[in-house]
Amino acid sequence: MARVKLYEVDAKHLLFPNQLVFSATTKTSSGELTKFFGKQPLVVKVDQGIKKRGKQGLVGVNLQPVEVIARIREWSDRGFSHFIVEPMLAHNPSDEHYLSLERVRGGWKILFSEKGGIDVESNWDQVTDHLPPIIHNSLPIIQQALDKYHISFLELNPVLIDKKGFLTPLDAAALIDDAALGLAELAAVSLTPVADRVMTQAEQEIVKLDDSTPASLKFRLINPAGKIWMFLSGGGASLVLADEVADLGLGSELANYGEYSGAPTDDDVYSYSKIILKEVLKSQTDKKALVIAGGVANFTDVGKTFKGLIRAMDEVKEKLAKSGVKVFVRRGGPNEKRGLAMMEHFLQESHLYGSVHGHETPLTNVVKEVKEYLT
Amino acid sequence: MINIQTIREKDNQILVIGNHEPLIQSILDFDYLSGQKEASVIGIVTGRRGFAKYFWGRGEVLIPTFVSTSKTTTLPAHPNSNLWLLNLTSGRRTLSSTLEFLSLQNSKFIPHNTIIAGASLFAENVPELHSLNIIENNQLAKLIVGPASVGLLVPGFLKLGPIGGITPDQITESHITEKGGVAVMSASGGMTNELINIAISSGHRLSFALSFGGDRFPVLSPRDAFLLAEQDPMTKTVLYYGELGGEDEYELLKLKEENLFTKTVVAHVAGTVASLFPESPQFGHAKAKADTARVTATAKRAALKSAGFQVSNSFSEFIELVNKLK
Repeated sequence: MARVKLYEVDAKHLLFPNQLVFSATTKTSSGELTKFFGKQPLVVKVDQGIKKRGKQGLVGVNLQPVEVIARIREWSDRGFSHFIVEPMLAHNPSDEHYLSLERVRGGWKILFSEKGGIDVESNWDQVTDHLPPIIHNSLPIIQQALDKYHISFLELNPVLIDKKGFLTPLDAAALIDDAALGLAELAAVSLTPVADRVMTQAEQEIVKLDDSTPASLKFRLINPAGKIWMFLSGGGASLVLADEVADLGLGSELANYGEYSGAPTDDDVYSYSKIILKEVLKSQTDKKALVIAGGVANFTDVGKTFKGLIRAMDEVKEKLAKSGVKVFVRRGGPNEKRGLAMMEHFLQESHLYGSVHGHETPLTNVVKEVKEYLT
Repeated sequence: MINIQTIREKDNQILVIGNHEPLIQSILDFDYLSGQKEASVIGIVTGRRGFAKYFWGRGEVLIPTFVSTSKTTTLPAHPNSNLWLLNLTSGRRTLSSTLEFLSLQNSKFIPHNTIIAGASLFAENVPELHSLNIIENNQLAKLIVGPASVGLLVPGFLKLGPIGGITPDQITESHITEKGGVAVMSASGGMTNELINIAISSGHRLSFALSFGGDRFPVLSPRDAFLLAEQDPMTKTVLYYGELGGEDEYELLKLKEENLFTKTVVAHVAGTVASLFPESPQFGHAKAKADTARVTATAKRAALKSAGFQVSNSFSEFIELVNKLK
């Protein structure tokens, strides 16, 4: 459902099949590298979609295989796991150019600069859509490959361009359309996108849950010691509600962002809530607000989803009450009245009641109530 | 492309691909409550030939079901009507099924003066290239909303999707069968309904409403939708909801600069919360990620403001602005 990062190794394999690249892990031996590359000097880089690797010391140049392995060990101690090894290409720094292609409505947005390399951003005024004519010898082939593999964005920086317009990227970054990963034409190359960041236990559990259902379940921890915990529904409404927390000056108290949508079952919502409630109870602040909110649903059943939420809260209701939790609710949609009545009854009974509103109350009012409760 | 007024002037008939009973029933409820004589859904491609039973007011109707779009030989399309597609297939099959429907225009199953008017594409996870393929094939000829859209609504005349809700309560309480002067447009399905709710509860009624869907390349772009609103004699005001990511709002700016759009707009662009993160996260919708400063919510709000649109600094303020509308 979005553009996700590819490993540089995969991007180069797919788009520049003539270039020698080796995908290394912590288990790679110097013998393997010697067998693959011979004795030529090598370059090794961390390959996990990280920008400005050079400036973070995540690039090693002009190394022998044993030195490459030493560098990999060093990086793996810092928590990195994916590496790319390539032959060192001797070149003049002035030959380092910049080229990027982005898929846009109606074609491609292509940017180029004579001055590529690590300082391209400080020379951004020299990046233009005016391309040297020679480059058109290479572009059609690249664009064809980008289409074939549903790659939406490619940045080559630096890239060497020979007299015939042939491209040799030193560094490559690519974004693939993950909606296409399941298509037959991509199943054959079996690509795994780069994990966006290191996920917490709870985040990993929710990714697993999300994969097991056609509904959408998302969770991201922002501040585990935060006072405001969000159980939101809908991609848009969740964004608006999280915005409102920040806009009312409560950004530093926002514990998480997340949303459930696409008509999840009550079991889905139960499992989802259970994982988050565990995190809520870990937070040591004296007062906490749970925000169960969303827009006016088109087809997600409010009664059903609330049933799942209540089941999960019911299991820990004493603990929640003891840790100063109040629950603030605003939701509309199919079976709204039944769902809200059920929720109100449960919250009153378990001393967790903050407020309960239906579609007649403006979406973001609930955030104001949270502010009043917390301050 | 068909204009909104033509939707009000001709019969609208819908072919549904895929099965979602409560959703289809809600369209029939809308038709019935709008005082239409017949159900707008005239066929459902379910993979099986036969009939499906639905409520029509207190009575029942039988709607023919078909094996595939190309086998809709007995589709009871009226002459001189608008024929719509409600595409409920999966993200992977949306492209092929949509193109198949569009090609019905030249088939003998359809009365020659009935036009293929457009479609609503419901699925999420439609590959970008598939959306671009539909855009290229369509060349703005048909009004196609989506992918990942909850549909298109013209009060009293057409409900193409779950837009406005799917239970009879929702349809009556949200007054979506009553006609007015406010057009609602939104990148998010849930927020489409929320905006409808805000407009209605501040005493307004709708001229039309649609959801673009939260994908990178909506077939009907916000620019195209603004032009529909400009040409529509009923529409006085546009309520617009957008999100961080993508360039669509800058296209709206150009419309204003070129003087192609003159009506009142109240707009909200969500996503300022992204600034709490070290790097913009990917939010719920495919497009909702700001990779550059230019496409952050803050930058897009400022740009729309500079073009003279009413733009809110928080969603509470958006609600206030709508309440103040005449």
